[in-house]
Amino acid sequence: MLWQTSWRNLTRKKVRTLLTLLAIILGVSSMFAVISTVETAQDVTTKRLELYTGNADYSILSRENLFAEDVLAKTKDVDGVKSSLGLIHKQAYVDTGQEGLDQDQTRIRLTGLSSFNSELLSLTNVDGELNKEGVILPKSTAAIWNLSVGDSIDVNLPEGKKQTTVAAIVGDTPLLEGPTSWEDAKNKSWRALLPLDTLQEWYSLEDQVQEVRMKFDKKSTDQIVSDLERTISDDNVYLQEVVLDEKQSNQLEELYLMLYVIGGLAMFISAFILYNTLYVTIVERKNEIAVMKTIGYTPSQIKKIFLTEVLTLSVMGILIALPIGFGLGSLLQTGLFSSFQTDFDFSMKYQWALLLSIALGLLIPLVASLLPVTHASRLDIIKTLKNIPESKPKTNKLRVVLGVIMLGFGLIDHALSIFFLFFGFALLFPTLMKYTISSIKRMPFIGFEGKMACNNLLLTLNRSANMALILAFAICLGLFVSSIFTSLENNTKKDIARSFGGDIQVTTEQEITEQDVKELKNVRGVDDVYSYQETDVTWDTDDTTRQIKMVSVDPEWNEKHPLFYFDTEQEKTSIAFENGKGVLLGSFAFDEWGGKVGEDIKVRVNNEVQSLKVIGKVNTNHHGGYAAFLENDRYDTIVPGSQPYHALLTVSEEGAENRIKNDLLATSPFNILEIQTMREEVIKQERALPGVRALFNGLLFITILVSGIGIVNTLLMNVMERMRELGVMRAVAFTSSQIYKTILTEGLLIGINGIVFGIIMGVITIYLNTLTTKDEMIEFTMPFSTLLVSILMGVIVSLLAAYLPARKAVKYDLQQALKHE
Amino acid sequence: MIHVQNLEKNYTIGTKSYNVLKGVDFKAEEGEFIAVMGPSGSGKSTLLNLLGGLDQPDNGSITINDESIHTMSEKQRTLFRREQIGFIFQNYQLLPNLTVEENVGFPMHAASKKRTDIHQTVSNLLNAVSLTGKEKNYPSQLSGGQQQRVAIARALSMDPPLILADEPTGNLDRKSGTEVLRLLTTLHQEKKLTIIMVTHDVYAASYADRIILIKDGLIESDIRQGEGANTDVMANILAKLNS
Repeated sequence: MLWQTSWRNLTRKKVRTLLTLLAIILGVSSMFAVISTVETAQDVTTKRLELYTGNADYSILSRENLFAEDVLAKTKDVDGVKSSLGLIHKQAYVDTGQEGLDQDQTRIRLTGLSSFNSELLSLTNVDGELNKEGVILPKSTAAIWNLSVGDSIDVNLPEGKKQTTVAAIVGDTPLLEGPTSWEDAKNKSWRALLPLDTLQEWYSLEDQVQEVRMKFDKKSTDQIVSDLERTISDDNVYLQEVVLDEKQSNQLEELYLMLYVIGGLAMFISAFILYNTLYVTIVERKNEIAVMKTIGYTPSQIKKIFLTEVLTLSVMGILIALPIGFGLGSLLQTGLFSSFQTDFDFSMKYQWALLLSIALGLLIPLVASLLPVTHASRLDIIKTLKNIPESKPKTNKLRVVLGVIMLGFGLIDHALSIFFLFFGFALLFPTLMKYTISSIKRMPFIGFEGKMACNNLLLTLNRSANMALILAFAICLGLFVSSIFTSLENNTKKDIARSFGGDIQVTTEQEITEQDVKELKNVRGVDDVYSYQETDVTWDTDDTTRQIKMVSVDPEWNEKHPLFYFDTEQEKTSIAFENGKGVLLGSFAFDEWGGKVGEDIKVRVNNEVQSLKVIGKVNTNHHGGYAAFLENDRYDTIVPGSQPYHALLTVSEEGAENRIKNDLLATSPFNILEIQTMREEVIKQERALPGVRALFNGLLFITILVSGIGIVNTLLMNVMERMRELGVMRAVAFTSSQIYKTILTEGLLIGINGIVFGIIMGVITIYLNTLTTKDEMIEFTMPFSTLLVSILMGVIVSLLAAYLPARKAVKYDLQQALKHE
Repeated sequence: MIHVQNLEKNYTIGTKSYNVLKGVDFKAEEGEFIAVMGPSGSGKSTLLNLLGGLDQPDNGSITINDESIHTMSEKQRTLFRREQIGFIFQNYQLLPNLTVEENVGFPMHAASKKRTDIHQTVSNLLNAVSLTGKEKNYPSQLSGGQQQRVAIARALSMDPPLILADEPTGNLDRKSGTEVLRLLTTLHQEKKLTIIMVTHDVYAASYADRIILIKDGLIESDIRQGEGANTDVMANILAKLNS
C-alpha cells in the first residue's frame, strides 16, 4: 500500500519526478565516474610499476654497478626462487636514416635480458620472434622510426657502429616507454631490448650483469633472502626488495583530491536539488498532509510516506545513473590518461565506485530529505487548512553570530583560516544576500518586474542564497586556482632554481671519480662541480612497505646551490644537519611518514634496519616521489660503499649551459645517462603549465554549469510553488514578457550575488593564502582573464537557467494556473 | 458594448471531448449588470473566461467595445484585459505576499503608471470599499469579505468599463456576501460600470438587472428585471434550474 501510494504520487507529478531523478542521476553518476577514475588510476599506476619491474619480489644490485653473471646462475639454485632474470642497461645512439636530428634525439637505452621467456617479463608480441637475434622495439617507436620486423638498424656504440635487425615488435609497455615523437626525444631516451649476450658482446662486458630480478615462492621471504645472501656471498652485491608503491613515483594525490571535490560538489548539488523538490512537494501537498493528520496519521507515518517516495526515486536513480556513470567514467579516464602523453592500456576499475555510489545514492537523498520530511510531519493542521501563509523567513540570529565569529577566525594568520572564512561566508550568505537584494529593490532602474523578482527572492531567501553560494564557491575556487597558476607561471624559474642544485644535472653510467670531477671542472664554461650519491632504500610504514630515495648532501654546496628549501627562512637557519646525525625528509615523505620532527624514521638498507632522526621537513622539486637528505658523512655510514653517479654543475657564464651539455655529450656520449639544464627544465614546466591551467579552467566551466542546473531547479521550484500567483498576475495585468522579465531577473540576481560574493571570497582567499602560505612563489595576483570569464559565464548561465522556468510559467495554462494549489 | 456570437468551446479530457459551449449568442449594453446563472458544468465560468480573454473560443466571436478579442494575440489580450476589464474571482486570488495597497495597485504598477497616481487611486479605492487603514495588511490578516473587497478595488484600479465577476460571493457568508453585492451595485450605479457576474446563488442574482440562464452550453433564458415582478422572475429561474 505504502509503495503503491508513493508510486502514484511520483507519477502524478511527472516533471518534478523527472527533475529529482535527474538530480540523483547527476550526483550518483558523477560520484561513480570520479571514484572509478581514482580507482582505475591507482590500478594503472600499480600495474605499470609491476610491468616495469616485472612484478619482481627482490633485486640483486652491486655497489660497483656491475657484478659477475654467475650470481644469476646461483640464484636458480636457491630454494624458493621461482625465476630470475639478469639484465644490463646501456647507452647507445641510433641511426634510423632520419636527417636533421640533434645527437640527444638519437639516444637509446638498450636493455640486455638473459631470457625473453621469463615470468618476470610481460611482453605482448605484435610481430616477429622475441628469441631471434636483433633488437626488440615497442610498437610506437617502430612506428615513429618507420621500421618493420627484419629491417636493419644502425646503432652507434663506444666501439663503433653495429648493424642489427629488428627481431620483434612488442606492445607498448612501461619497461620500454620511450618518446612519443622526435621532439619528445630531446628529453627522453628511446628504449629497446636485446639478448644479454649480444649486449655483453657489444660493450665487452662478458659474464657481467647489472641487476638480477627475482620472483619468489610465497613461502618465507626472509628464509629465501638469507639463503640467497649465503649462496651469493659477495660483499659488493646486495639484495633490495622491490617495492610496488603507486605513490612512490608520482604525486597524483592532488589530482585525486580535485576529482573528489568535483564529484562531491555534484553530489552536494544533487542533494540540494532533491531537498528543494521535496520541500516544494510538501508545500503543495500540505492540505493533504493536514487532512491525513486530522484523520489520525502520526508524524512518523507521514515521514514514512515521503521517505518511501525518496527511496523509490533513489533506487530508480541509481539504476539509471550507474550505466551513465560507466560512460562518464570511461570518458574521464580516456581524457585523463591521454593528457599524460603516453599510451595507456587500461580497463576500468569500479569495485569501490559501485559500492560507494550505491551507498551514497541511497544515503544522501535520505539525509537531504530529512529536513523537509520532518517539516511535513510537523505541519500545523489549523494553519494549513485555513491556508495561512508561512511568514517570511527571518534571519537566524545564531547563524549570523556564528558566521561573524567564523569570519573573525578566518582573518587569523593560519593555513586553516580559509576554511573558517568559507564556513563564515556560508553562514552569513542568506543575510548578505538579503541586504543586497533589498538594496537592489530600492534602485529605480530595476522597474516593477525587478521589484517583484526581488520580493520573490526574499521570500525564498534560503533556497536562492544556497544556490548563489554554490556559484560563489565555484567562482572563488576558479579565481584562487587561477591565481596560483599565474603566480607559478610568473615564478617558474625562481621555483626551479630553489631546488635544482646548480645549472646542470648530470647522471652517469659509471661512478664519478675525483678525477672525473676535476675533468668536468676543466670543461670550458664550467664553474664548479659537485658529485653526490643517491640510493633507493625501503621504508616500512604501519601498513605497507615504501621506497624512499636517500640523497647525500654537502651542506656547503647546498647553501649556495640548494637541492631543497625550507618553508621559512627561520627554519633554514635553525636546522642544521646536527653534526650529521639527522635526516631531512622531503615534504611528501614527511606527510606520509606522519611522525614529528625529533622522532626516528626506520629505513632498511641492505636488509638492515637503520633508525634515522628526522630533523626537519623540506621541499624539493628534485624528486617527484619520496626523498630524504643526509649529510655526506652520515650517508656513507648508512649506505657504505656507495658511489656517486650524479653531478651538479654550475656555469661561469650565463647562457653557456647548452654548449656545455653538447660538449659533454660529445666527449662522453656513452657515459652520460641523463643531462639536463635548468633552462630546459624551466621550458618544460612552462610548457606544461598552460595545459594544466586549461584543465582547471575546464573544471571551473563545468562547476559553473552544474551550478546552472541548480539555479534551473531552484527557479523551477519557485515557479511551481507560485504558479497560482503567476496565473493571477497574468490574469489581472502581467504580459508574458513581464513574466519573463520577472523570472529572468530572479535568475540574474542569483547569478549576480554568486558572482559578486564569489569574487569577494576569491580575492580574500587569494590574499589570505598569500599571507599564510609558506611558499614564497605564491604572490597576490588577480587573474583578470578568469575574472572576466567567471562574470560572463555566471551571467550567461544564470540567465539561461532562468529561461526554462520562465517559459514554463508563461506557457502554463492560465485557467489551470488560477486553480493551482 | 459586448457582442457574443455563436460562441463554442470544447475541452478534451483524456480521450473524451466535452462540448461546453455549443453556440452562445448575446449582447450586453454599456452599464448593464448581468448575472449569468446555471447548474454546475453548464458552461457559465467558461463563458466568463472567454469574455475575459483568459481562454480562446473554438468557434464564434466576442466583440467588446468594437474590439474582437477572439482574434487578439495573448499579449494583446493581456493588455486589453488590463485596460478594459476588471476581474473578480470566487477565491479572491490576491497575491499573498503583497500588502493590501500593493495588491490593489498591482495592475497600475504593471502598466508603469506614476507612483503618485497609483498612491492616489489606491487610497480612493480603499476608501470606496471601506478598507482605509488596512493598507499595510497582508491578505491573510483579513476576513473573506474584506479580501473580496480588496479584489474589487484591484479590479477597479485601472478604471475599466467592464467587470467580470466569477461567483464573487461564493466563498462568503450571507452578511459579507450582501456587503460585496451592495458594493458592486453602488459601483455599477455610480460609475455606470458594465458588470457580468457568474453565480449560482439566486439571492446574488437578484441584484442584477438582467439574468442569463445557461444550461448544457446554450442560453436557456435571458430575463430582464422589470419584465415581471421580482418574485415571478426568481420563481421562473428556480423552476428552470431545477428542471
